[in-house]
Amino acid sequence: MEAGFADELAKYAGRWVALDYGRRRVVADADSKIALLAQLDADDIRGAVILEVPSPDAPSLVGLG
Amino acid sequence: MAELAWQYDYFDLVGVGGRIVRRPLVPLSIGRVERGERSEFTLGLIDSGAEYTLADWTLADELGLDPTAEVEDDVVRIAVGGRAHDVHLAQVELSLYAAPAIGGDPRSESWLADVGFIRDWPAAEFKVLLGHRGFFDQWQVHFAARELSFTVASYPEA
Repeated sequence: MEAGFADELAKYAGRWVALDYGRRRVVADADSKIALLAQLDADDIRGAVILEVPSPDAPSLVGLG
Repeated sequence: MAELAWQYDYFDLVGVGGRIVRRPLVPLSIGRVERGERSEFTLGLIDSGAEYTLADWTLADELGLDPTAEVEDDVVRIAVGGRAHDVHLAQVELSLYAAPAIGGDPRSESWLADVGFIRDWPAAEFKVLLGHRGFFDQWQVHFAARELSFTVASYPEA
């Protein structure tokens, strides 16, 4: 995935976004998953990957499972 | 399962100090076969060091699934992100997608897997952790980090 997309995604830190995974672009965002899903439903957007964008200050997790 | 090999690009996020955190994340969903329901597309982290496949409890909630109400409530204690959790295993349908796009009809493959659900999920960007049980026993994975890509492939037919 292009570094430019990471920078674009970072603008949404702390928010929930709907991602057009195939085209690598954000199509909607909201402050909660419920609000985002309602927005997608209202706009009849199907096929988005739902993602919570972490804060840049969040530690990178290792040793997960 | 049909023979296939899907290549993905690593998923980059901006981390502490502006450095890039590069993760092998794949698009997937969790479903309940008996109810014909499936979660929204989410991202799963392929973790070759993980024994179990784990998921955020909220995904179970969204599907109306109570992992503690399974016929045999199978609980294992696992440390995730430095914290110990009681993990409740439940059989669900996992679906892996090639590259979903808005308005498209992505290629997918589905299989049944025992997934451990945990509360207080520690990661924001992915809600499923794909480990040996439930993922690597279904798929071969080839990491090509230098080329910024990885491939998920089916095992050869026996």
